[in-house]
Amino acid sequence: MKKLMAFVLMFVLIFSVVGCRNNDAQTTTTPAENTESTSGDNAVFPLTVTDSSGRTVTFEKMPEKLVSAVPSNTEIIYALGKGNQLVGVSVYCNYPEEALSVNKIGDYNGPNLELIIDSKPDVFFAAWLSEEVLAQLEGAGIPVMLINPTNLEETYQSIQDIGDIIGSSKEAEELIGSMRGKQENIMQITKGYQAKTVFYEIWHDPLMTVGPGSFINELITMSNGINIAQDAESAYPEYSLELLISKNPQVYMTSDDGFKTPEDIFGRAGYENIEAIRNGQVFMLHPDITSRPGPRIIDGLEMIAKAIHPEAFEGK
Amino acid sequence: MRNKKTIIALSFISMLGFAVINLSIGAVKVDFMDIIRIIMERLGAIPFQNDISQSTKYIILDVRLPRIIASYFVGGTLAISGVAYQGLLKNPMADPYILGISSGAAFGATISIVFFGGIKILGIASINLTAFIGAVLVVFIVYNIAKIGNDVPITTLLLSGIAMSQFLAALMAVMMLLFGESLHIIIHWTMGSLSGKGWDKVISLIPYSLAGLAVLLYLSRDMDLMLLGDENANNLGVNSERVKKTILFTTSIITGAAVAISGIIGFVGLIVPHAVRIFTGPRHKILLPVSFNAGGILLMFCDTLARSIITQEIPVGIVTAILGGPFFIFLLYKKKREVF
Repeated sequence: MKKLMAFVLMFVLIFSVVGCRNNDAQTTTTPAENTESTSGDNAVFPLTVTDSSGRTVTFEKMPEKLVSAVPSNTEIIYALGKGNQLVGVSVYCNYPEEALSVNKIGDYNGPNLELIIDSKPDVFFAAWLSEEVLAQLEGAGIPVMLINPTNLEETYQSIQDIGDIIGSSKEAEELIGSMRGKQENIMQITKGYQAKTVFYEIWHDPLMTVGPGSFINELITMSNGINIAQDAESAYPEYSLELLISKNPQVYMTSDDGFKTPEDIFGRAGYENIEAIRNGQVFMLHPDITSRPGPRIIDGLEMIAKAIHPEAFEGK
Repeated sequence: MRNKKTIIALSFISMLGFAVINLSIGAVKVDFMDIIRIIMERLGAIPFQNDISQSTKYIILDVRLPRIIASYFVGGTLAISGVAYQGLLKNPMADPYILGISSGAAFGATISIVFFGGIKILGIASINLTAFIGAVLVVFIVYNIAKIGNDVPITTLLLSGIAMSQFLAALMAVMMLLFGESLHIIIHWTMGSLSGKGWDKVISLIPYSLAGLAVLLYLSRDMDLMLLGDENANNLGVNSERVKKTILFTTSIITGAAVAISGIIGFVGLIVPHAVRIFTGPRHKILLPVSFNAGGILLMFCDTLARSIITQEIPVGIVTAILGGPFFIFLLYKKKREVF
């Protein structure tokens, strides 16, 4: 039973938190020396890009047919206006709605090689692939970009990289600019308030939370919140009830994943000792928005900031 | 004797037929005649077929075909290891993993996933290498724990295997907790998959697989006699301790090689020997080759389901367990007295 729950948990994490692998390799875009523009769009080809795993991929000309195995990458491609070029997406790509009608090529963990190769994409965007699957895609002559940002800054970089590759560099710059603007605004208006302690529940049995290195931890910090688990050992640590009660967070957040209701949380044994519970400061957030490293991550930041400092947003 | 050869030949032919059918099943529909033309073209029998796209050719020759062959050899290897263990340990519950090979391989793979990432050593992906080393090392340790003088009592062997397994599983759980970011990769690996296995993997497994089959076949008479008990076998001129050692050494290496490329695929090594024994009887000379083919067929079938039943890949270990469990129960129910 424990094992089963672990599997369920794993899948929940995969559905929502795509991109949690540590990676020191910085993503950088370097247009090749040969600056002969071969397309009408606003990028320069041939283009050499380094992906999150440190691989360099060269595009001779602008890719036309795109396949994405990750919801965040799909959202980025749509936000940059190239959604109509997607010929394959993962079964979890549910936003925007148009993505639902694109052919499915498998999921994040089990991409279907045959379907990907058969759709003959000019570029395949993924987050993680097994060494074997990667080798086979390369063998079939399909350029693969592994895009796996682990924080907001890397998310901006991945939006720029995708934009450069699909010929939407300008759109990417604009999108990043507007995201940065919102981010700075949120950080600005929450700064003046007293920082609050926050607990973010990822899973209830066993109780798991977000630690350093996780996206949500970064969003909480940016919202002038103090994640009580920020000194934990890993990005998604188990957390004891004792520690939770002794740290006594002022705000309690969790993913609205369908496995629990606010009533469940209020009714849990021992929770009456927690300040957030006594004051009704329990927030259920949409996991797709708070966890996908795509354009909507800023909306996630805003949701978290509003939960922590609602007064900062009054009248805005 | 002729009868035996016929059964072995039949099992081989049905395997080949099955492989051809499976080649024409997949997520991407490819016409059967096209598949034949693609293969003929590659063999040089017919000229370049320009009406079949390059990607279709790649799918058949470099994705589907090596994967089917890999499933045959992985399934076959697990099945003969199961035969050998069940005979050696005189235990119908024995499977290739009973002495801790799976935990050893999983632990090895975990170390590689967490610490080495995508590093290659001598052209071999570190995950395959450490999984193999882990698998073989565990049997070596278990064997030496169980050894008393020159003897290896079966009970001690089984118990130390179980203890080692549990211990390694615990260590692995600790690593999964501490390195949560690699959790999905580790779990994916432990569920077993043949997705993306190309020719390099197939070629690296075949020599182990065939050599293992040859060694076990060579020992088949001794294994038959050892079913009567070690003492009786010794009286009949078998050096049972040496045979035991050779079998343990051989099976751990071939199972390690199979698990290193496929991850942990359960049930094949447990049910195939039992199912085949019903038809062939307990003589190893026929049980081993037929089990090899039957194990290969079973895994081929399960892997074809795994790659084509829904758009996403299902880890094949899940398919073998879902199909294998009820099938085994059915066999037990039908042939209660004859199973072992």
